[in-house]
Amino acid sequence: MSTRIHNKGILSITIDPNIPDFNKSAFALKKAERARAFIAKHGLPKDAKPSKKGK
Amino acid sequence: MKYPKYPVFASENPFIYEFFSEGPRGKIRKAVFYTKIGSNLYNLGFGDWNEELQDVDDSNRTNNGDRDQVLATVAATAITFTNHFPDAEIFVQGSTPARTRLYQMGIGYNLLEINEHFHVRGFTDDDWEAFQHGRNYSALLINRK
Repeated sequence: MSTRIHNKGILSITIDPNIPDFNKSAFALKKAERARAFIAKHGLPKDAKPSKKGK
Repeated sequence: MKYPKYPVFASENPFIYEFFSEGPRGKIRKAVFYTKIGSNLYNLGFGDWNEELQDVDDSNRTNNGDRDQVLATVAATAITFTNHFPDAEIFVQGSTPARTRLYQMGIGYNLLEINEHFHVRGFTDDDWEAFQHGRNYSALLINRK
């Protein structure tokens, strides 16, 4: 079953529980590792929002 | 954004999206996802669904004639995602410098509208700076205003 919702007129989104969890894919893990390495090497902008505990 | 967007399908969590590009090369399933890599930091993952690999793949250029609509749709998922996580910083880097350049071109062409919602920073040789159209960046960082 799917539910159509509207995101403030910006985007039409249909919820589909059958979409694979792309975050568990090898592709996602590789990309995340690459991003972490980049940030570890170069850091974040000084004005990046500070981390908040619990998020 | 001035370009039309494809209808998006979302999983039941706000991290996973997909849509279908339609053009001369047919209907191509596109995956967009946000992977947590730090406390408020997320990597934007984007690519085509490869049925053979059963995984996302961004190694090929799709050439479906709808680049701007695809990029506008990806950008719209960032708005949806940051509606859920307003403090999120989104890291964007293509699999190759050419692909990162493609993303920054998409941002550059829509900069006025993107600036309504987001701060965009780009990484140059050795530091981050406010995004400027026409500059070449090796990575981008986006957060909601």
